[in-house]
Amino acid sequence: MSRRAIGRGRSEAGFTLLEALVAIGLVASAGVVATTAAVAMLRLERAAHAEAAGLAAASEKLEELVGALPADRRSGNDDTVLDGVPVTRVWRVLDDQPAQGLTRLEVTSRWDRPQLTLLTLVAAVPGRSTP
Amino acid sequence: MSGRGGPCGRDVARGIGLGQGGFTVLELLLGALLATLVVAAGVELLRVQVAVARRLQASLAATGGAGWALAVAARDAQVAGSDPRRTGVVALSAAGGERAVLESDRDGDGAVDAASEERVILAWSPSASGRFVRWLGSQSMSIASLVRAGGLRLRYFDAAGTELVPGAGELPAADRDRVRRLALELDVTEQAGVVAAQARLRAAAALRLRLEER
Repeated sequence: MSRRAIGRGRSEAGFTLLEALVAIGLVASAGVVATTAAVAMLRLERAAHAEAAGLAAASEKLEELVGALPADRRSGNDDTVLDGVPVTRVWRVLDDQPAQGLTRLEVTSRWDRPQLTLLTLVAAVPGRSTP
Repeated sequence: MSGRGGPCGRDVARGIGLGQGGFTVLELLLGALLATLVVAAGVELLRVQVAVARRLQASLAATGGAGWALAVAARDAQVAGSDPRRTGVVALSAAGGERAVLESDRDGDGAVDAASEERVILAWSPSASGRFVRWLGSQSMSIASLVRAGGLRLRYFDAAGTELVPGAGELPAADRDRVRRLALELDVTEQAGVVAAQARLRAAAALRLRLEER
């Protein structure tokens, strides 16, 4: 009887294995949540940065086409790196679109990281690339 | 065998009493150690979170700031040379590697008022650790800060896409008249606390008013 009493006393003074596991689980969960949030934020930041670079690259090429002589406008593609982001650009020059005497210019930029993204800018300028 | 007043009974009662009423020094020390470890882990986690947030803040601010400044400057260049009265407004009255003066007749009075927004100056300024400054007449505003020396680069291209290099000074008037496109490169550093982030973006602007000359 006295041994049982001592046993109860010890049991009440400490933690059970279940209690310890629950406590560790809670602390670990908080760590996992915080880490996941940080990783998600970094990913979003990378996506925003890549989008800014992709947009700037497309806009740059579009202005280049707008500023060129009509006869010098040709469809094409190239690769460029802007602020560390590799961007592939594809552009098309379409005469008489959207109306006679106008030229439709389309520039699509594509980047792969952190995710594959395509962005297209369109403009119409006077003139034709072919007589 | 173990009566209430016996030595064995007193020991048991004392043992139970101690167990229920408080902790031993060893238990307290162990508890304090564990609590310290948990708090230290929490603080470290918070510290990492703050560092990540600061880095993100600086990086986004640098990219966003550079993009915005380039968009503003490119728009100024696109509409330069507006001349509704055909009085011969010069789109670029000065064109250097770090400074460009853009003019236009916005109110259609046939003249360029240098003290108004009809004259826009885009230039790098060495003040406050380097800034990209935009003057509208006599008013100036920093549109990007922490731009190191050489962090703003203006380049000029003619209709054939050939670069017109200003050299050490500025483009001569004959070359300025040939400019059809302005290219801008901007290198911005942003700081959030002790964390710094850099963004280097490019932009281009075709001078719209010169398209009609073709």
